[in-house]
Amino acid sequence: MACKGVKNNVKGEDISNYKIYVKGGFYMSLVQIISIIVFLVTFIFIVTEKIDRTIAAMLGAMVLLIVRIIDQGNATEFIDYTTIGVLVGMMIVVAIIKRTGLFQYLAIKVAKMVKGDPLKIIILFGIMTAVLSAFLDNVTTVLLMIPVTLVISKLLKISPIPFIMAEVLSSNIGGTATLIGDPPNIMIGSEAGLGFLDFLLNLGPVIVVILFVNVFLIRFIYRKELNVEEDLKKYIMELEEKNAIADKELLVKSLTVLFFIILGFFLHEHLGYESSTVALSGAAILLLISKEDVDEILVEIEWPTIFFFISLFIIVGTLEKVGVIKMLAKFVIDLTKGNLVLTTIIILWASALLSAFLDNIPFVATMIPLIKGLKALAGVNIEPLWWALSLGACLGGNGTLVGASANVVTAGIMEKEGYKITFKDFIKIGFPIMIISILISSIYLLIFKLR
Amino acid sequence: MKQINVKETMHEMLLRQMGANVICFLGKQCFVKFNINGYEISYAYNINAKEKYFLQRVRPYPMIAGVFEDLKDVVNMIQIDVEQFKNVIESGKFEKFLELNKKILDTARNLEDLFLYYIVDEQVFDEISKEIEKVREKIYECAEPERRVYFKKDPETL
Repeated sequence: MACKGVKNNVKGEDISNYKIYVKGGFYMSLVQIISIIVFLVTFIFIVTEKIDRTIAAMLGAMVLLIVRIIDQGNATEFIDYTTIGVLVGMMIVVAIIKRTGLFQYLAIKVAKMVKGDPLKIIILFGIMTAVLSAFLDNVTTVLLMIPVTLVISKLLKISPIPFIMAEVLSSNIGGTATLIGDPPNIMIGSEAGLGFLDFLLNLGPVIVVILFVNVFLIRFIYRKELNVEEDLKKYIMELEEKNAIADKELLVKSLTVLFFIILGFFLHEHLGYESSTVALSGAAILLLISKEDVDEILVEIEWPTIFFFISLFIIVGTLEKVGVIKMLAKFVIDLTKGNLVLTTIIILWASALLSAFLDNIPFVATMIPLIKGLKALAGVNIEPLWWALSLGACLGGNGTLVGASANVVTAGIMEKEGYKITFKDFIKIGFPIMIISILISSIYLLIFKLR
Repeated sequence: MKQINVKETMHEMLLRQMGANVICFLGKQCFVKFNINGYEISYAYNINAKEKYFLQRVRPYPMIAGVFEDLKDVVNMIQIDVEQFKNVIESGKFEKFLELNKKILDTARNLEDLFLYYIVDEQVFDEISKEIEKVREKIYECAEPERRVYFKKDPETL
């Protein structure tokens, strides 16, 4: 165990491996206790939002380095470059595609297709957001949908909240369907060796069912608020989707590269490439052929998110290295007696309920080594556990306003636009939808993955 | 930043629907403020990667100072402008100058409103033009070379 700092007591004796009695027959070493304290304090700061989550995670990681529980080499090893690569690559691609006006074009086209009828727009915008979210980050997707939704609701003289709720909930649902749709899936895929097709084939079908239930439920809930006079619908029909396209040449280039990126995601396992290689190659090629200013594009990468991930990987990697995760895995096996069905259902529901209130990224980052530990200790087929973790962590985000980054970002922007979405408003719609989603997921896992 | 991006996209969409060509680029907006004997002299300009700097005087009265290719020219322009204002302020005639300037700016707005909101006979154009010419002649008359006090830069219009 690399532990040069927490080493000597006043007499100069090595104390790092001293076993300290904790409770209930548990003994822990000093490094394990310090690692847990750093993890918990960081987690508390992230959850309570007393300080910015990126700063909290960076401080936690740095404390582990400063007290020399890990060294620079360990820290670098812990960082999952596949997750970071996919995130950065896709952020670059989206930053360029965004400049073409494609997303506005699609939204206007969809609104006109249903002749400006809000009862149909809400369903199609929900589905459109989910599909986009399957390939883009959830926050990015809602940020692309919000402006056009605000314009359309202003033209229809109705509140944008029903549309926005449909979109934000659908973005969290749609993101669950693919490897690249939601950061927890990128992490799970990278660590569990699951590819794009694995996610799409195993989670795609259940997500389609959940999505349709979600959008029709939201439409039913808000049906009274979505009635508008026929006269107002003509404003939507007057919108010209072609005007939304800002740069045709860039659009053609972007769509061509995006097509190859998606093709690459489908084939990456067969070709023996990491998903990050696909995303970063696409990003590099698009940067080259788009002739966009590299500085301007790279500024648009969400660097706080990237540093948050890097720091979390270091913290959770340390917990794994010092043996805390192994202890937790043993505890879970003792609790469930190695029963796969019980473990899967517990992981699904616990992930969902915890993710509804906590940031799902640190939670998933902690659960991944734990699930790997279960395999090592109990030797069970852990594939259903990965799907349970993904479904629980991603769909759980819909439970409350703080459950997912997309919810928080949307609420912040809507408040500044004059439409407040309170914690209570969100939970009234989001929590029942989350419970229904997890019920559907439980049935799906029991029938198709655990029989 | 996210809020700014959403606002930008919304406005861009509305403007594009009006048929406009909208170009957005990343840059920094700088506000420069001086206090000369209790008078605020301020400027706004942007810095961006496209090497074009739009300088505008904000106070004591707004005026577009121009588009510059080099950031050095922006600083020079501000320096000269501030020196000239300092001279006027120290001359003790600044309040009168401000009053006059305000009248001219208000007149320009009145003129715009007149032509944008009312049907105006062509003859009125000529009458107003004649009156403006009289004012300009008076300005030219006063700008005698021997009364010039600032020499670092030549006047742009006289």
